[in-house]
Parts: sequence; C-alpha cells; structure tokens
Amino acid sequence: MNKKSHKLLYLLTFVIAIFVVQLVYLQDTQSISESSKKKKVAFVELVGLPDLAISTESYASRHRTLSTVFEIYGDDGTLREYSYSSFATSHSAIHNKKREIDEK
Amino acid sequence: MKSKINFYLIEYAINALLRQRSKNVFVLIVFTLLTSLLTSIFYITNSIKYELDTTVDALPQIIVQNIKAGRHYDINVDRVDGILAINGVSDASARVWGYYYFEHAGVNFSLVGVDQFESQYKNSFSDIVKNFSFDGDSKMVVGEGVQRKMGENYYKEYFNFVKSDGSMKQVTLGGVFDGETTLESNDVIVMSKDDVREIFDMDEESATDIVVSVANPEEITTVASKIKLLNPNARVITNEDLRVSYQNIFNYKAGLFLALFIISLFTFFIIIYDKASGLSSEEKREIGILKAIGWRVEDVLKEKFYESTIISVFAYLVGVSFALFFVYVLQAPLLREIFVGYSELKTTFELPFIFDAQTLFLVFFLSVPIYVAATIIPSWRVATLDADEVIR
Repeated sequence: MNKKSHKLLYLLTFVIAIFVVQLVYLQDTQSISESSKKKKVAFVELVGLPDLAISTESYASRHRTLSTVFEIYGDDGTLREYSYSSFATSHSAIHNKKREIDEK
Repeated sequence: MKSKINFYLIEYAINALLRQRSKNVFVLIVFTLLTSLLTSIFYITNSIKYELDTTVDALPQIIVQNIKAGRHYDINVDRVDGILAINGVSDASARVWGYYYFEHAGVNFSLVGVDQFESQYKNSFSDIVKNFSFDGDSKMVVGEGVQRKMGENYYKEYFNFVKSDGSMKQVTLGGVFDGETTLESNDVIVMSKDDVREIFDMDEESATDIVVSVANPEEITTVASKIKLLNPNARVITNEDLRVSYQNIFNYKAGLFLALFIISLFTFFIIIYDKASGLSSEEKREIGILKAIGWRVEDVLKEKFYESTIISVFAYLVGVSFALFFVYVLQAPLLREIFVGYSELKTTFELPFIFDAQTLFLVFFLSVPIYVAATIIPSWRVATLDADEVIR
C-alpha cells in the first residue's frame, strides 16, 4: 500500500470511528429509559390525553381529532374562533369600528 | 483468479481528485449538506414517532364526544349506561376536562378531573408525581410548565381559578409531575372531578366526553360502530384513529418539508446531470492517454469507480454523522419546529435517540449509487472508444 492510500484509509477509519462513537454515546445518554417510558405511559393512562407539543394544526388545543371543525381558525389564547363563517362568535374590530371622524 | 485491490489505482484516483480540487470539494460539500439535511429530517420524524408510539397505546381505546352543529358540547353522563350495555365493553366512564385560560399569562392550562382523587390514585401517583401531599381540601397536581407559569405570577402554593360567575376557587398545589413526563404533562393540572366541575360550571349530569374500554382490542371498531348507532350525534374516536391522525400529521409535515427540499435536491441533480451528460474534453483526453499507454477499459472504470466512491462515501459518512450531531446534540434547531406544535406552554422536550438502520440504508442507496453510476457511465462510453479517436 502506498502513502496516499494509507492516508485515505486512516481518514475513512477516523470518520467511521466518529460515527460509531456518536451512536454509542447517544444510545447511552439520549435514548428513553424503561423507567421513563413507564412514567409516560402511567401519566397518559391517568390523564387520557395525547401530548401537547406534537399537536400542530390546532395550536391552542391538544389534538385535532379532539378539536372542533373551526379550530383551524383559532385566533388567540382564549380559543376564540374567528373566520368569515363564524363571525357571530367574534366580530372584526376593524370592520365594525365606528366612523368617528364622519360623526364629528 | 484472485482479484486484488490495486492500490496504485486508488492512489491515481486520489491524485485525480486532488488535481480538480475546488470542483471536487464543492461536490463533496453539496453532497454532505444534502445528505445531512435529508437524514436529519428522517431522524427527527423517527424520534417524534417513537415518542408518540410509546404512549399511544395508553390512550383511551374509544372516546365519545357530543357534537351539535359541528361544535363540541358537553355530553350527558346517562349515555354511559347505554354504552356499558353493549357487548364487549369492559368499562365506560365520563371524563371531565377542559382548558382554563389564565389571562394574565396568556396561557391555557388543561384541567383534568380524576375520580376519587385522593385515595384511588395515590399509589399510581407516586411514580409520576414528586413532592406531593394530599392533606387538606381541593388539591391539584400540576405539570412543570404550569408550576413555572404560576410561580412567575406569584402563585407558589395555591392558585385562584376564576369561575364563570366571577367568583374565585382557590386550589392548593399538592404536587408536581415528574420531569420525565414533561412532554405529556407540561400544561396539565389534575384535580378532583368536583373541583373541575365547579370551575367550569358543569353540572353533575354533564361531562366533557366518555372514554370506553373494550375487553378484546380486536373488537374496538365493532364497538365503536355500535356506539355510533346508539348515539347518532356523537363523534366516536378510536385509538387507531389517533394513530392514523399522528401518521397523517407527520406525512403532511414531512411532505411539506420534502417539497421544499426538492429545490435543494435540484442542485444535486444538476451535478449528476453534468457528470452523466458527458466528460469534459480534458477528462476525455486523460482517458485517451491512459488507454494509449496500455490501460484497459476495466482499469479506467475501476479508477473512476474509486474516484466517485471516495467522494460519495465520505460525503455520506460525514453527512450522517453531522445529522446525528445536529439532531441529538443540538436538538435540531429550526428543523424540528416544522413538526412540533405551537403553544405558550410548549415544552422543550429532548428528541430521544432511535437507531434506525432502514433510514441509513435508504439515504445511502438514494445518494451513493446514483453518483457512482453518473460518473462511471460517461467514462465507460469514452473508454470503449479507440485511444487516438478520443485524443483527437
């Protein structure tokens, strides 16, 4: 084997070693332990609700299958819905603003 | 005949790569970035799916909700008797839960009422609740996010819930859920059903929904359809629906990302196209000279194979290693926001590490063979011609 092939082999070995070390380290430190799993399962059994962080479309509620059909238009933290089809629930402050200049 | 690796060919391949250093470094960088981006998305999706799959089986098998005019309303607890009479149903209970908007902090708490709060659940609590004490009236157990928000608003030992009539309901803090359940419990407050009813002004005959357990999991769909027949205005959700919903959410989000990723993939395919469409005159002359000095077609192809393999395998290994570091050490900033929801009490959960060999193979076969083929095919076309024809 010549010099450059040696260097290539060392580099390849180094990169593979980094990869394997990462795998072992992450498996050891970042994987969910059995006790952690048990606690999560126990909690979900107790409460019966899916988690919050993963639910996306209905940002104010827990999961879209547990939300209403209008949830996608949810506007604020009070879960007040606003859309053209549900204007009876929340009016638009811009459209309904009184024309104070005209009145004056 | 024993085939040996010709290290002189490998050295020649390395020298050839170094002769066009800037071009090959550019290809390497682009290849690495694309591989790491694609692998990162797969890692993130796998981790979040694993997190969800861990708990999805613990969710209620069937949830029955009352729908009126497309909106969710309280359900009458009398319906529980009708559901219990269905063959196959092992248990049905009314749940009382909802969102309490804490206006001052602009957050929603999820209030969950539990039956026989202080006695039946004391034992199951011990594993998932730290520092709890259930002495006294009206206690609650909260998630860490709730405790933090309450603390920021000077509620350290109790909290005043504002009822619908404007009066206050003081509930003492009895405990905090373990940090390991943060993903699930961050915004949750668990208290007795009576307290939740009082806060939400729900009468004894009403509940938020009904959860049903089925003795034989194979019969869940049948029981769900029977419940639907019995209660035509009810929305019946099975845990399989929840699993499918999760899958749909991820497919949608991953699809959204991949649609944008296609733009970056164009860069890679332009490189592939450039390689596959033909060699430059310099490269052709090089092959012509090699053939003139006695190289066989086989030797030329081996050399090109070594060249392309060195670049693609290195880019793959570095890309995958970087993706591991980016996702699990740096916790995938920006990228994971594509998949994770929005909430004032969204927890900063850690992506759990999952080793998925399928992902690694998928990314490998999507990248390395394509690049190698794109390099070898045009070289083969030129190498099969006569040397003087190529040099001219």
